[in-house]
Amino acid sequence: MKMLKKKPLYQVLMGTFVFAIVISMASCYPNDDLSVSETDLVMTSYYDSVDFSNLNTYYMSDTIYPVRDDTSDKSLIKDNNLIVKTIADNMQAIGYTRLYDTSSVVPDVRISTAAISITNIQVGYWYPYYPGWGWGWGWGWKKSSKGMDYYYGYPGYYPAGWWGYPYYTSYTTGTLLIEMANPRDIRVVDNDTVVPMYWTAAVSGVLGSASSNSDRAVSGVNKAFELSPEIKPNN
Amino acid sequence: MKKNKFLTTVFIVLISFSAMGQGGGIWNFDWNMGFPMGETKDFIGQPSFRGFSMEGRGFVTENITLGGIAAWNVFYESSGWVTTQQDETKLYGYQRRYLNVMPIMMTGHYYFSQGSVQPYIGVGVGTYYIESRNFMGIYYTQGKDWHFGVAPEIGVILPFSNSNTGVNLNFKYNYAAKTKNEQAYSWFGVNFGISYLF
Repeated sequence: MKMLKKKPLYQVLMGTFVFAIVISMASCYPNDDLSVSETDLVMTSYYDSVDFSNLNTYYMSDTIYPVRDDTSDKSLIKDNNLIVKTIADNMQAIGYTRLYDTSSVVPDVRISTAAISITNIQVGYWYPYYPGWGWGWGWGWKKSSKGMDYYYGYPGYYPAGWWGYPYYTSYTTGTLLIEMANPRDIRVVDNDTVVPMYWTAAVSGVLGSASSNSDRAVSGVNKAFELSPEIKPNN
Repeated sequence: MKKNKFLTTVFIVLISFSAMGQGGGIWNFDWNMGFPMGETKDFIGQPSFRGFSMEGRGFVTENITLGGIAAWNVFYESSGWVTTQQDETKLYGYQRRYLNVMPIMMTGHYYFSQGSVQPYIGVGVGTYYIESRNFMGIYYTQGKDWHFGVAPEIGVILPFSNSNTGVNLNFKYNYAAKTKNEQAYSWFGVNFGISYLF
């Protein structure tokens, strides 16, 4: 009966070992999958010492400046006109007047836009290992000339693929940048001539299908204006 | 790799405690539930049902055990689309938060009886390794630190008849203290699992 005490301990240790391996494979970060539209982020920032009520006119180019991984490609982005129109509609709705000819009249503010596309590539190694789940490992009693011996069979655990499988994932993020500045408000800070940004908005997300990108860009721009009641000239 | 080193340390600690249990002892393998309290609740309000613990206790007197415990709990909450603001900057995005907690503690327990029902009280003292992640879309801010912690508990072991296995149920208050960089965390744990008595 004394010898019986050792067996549960061994069983317990093996159980612990199997249990621990399984648990170590469990996820630290459950529910870590996002749909493409859930990756969208809208950020806005305004300069609080500016009196926006004095600003009425603005100039905006019809070209959204494209920034791509391939820097030689300066073609317009697919939704260029749609996004420019969305910004123009929002600016008109809050009370700004758009100027098209700045040769004779200086606008109160200028809006610059850019679209930045960055492709991220991740390389990882996946090490799958599958411990055997055998709770019923064999053990038994064997009578020998020395008295009672006991022995136990080993549970089948077979680690598969210790050398690891490489995998590559890549995703491209697109960021739309909208900046509003006053061309006449020039300041000198630490011997640098700077034009402070009156308002900055960024709409960013992982790029998906063409139609989803268009929809999300438009709703992102609308959201940016919705978050910025402070820039309304007629507050 | 960090997890393997962690588990190896845990085994060494627990095995050394079981060796100490000359008068027998108890192994517990429990499923852990966690209910956030206090400052934890400000970060994540949802309870955690993803957690487990391994514990080894050795009797040093007739009614007292000393031992060690290692555990892992995951708290998760998705707040969906939120707008946050800091000064003049606003951020609108899909917010999710994670808390990964790994308590490693030395424990001591006192048993009121050791028959067919074994109620006990005890306390654990040790450390909580806590990693928090606050996601907005695909971007996140992370905090990680080792916190000193204490965990008083009350529970009961119910052995199956004529067997050296049984059921363990306990209620534990987990408190991980504030560190220089990270806030304090506390949660109420309900743990349920299997005991091996030897």
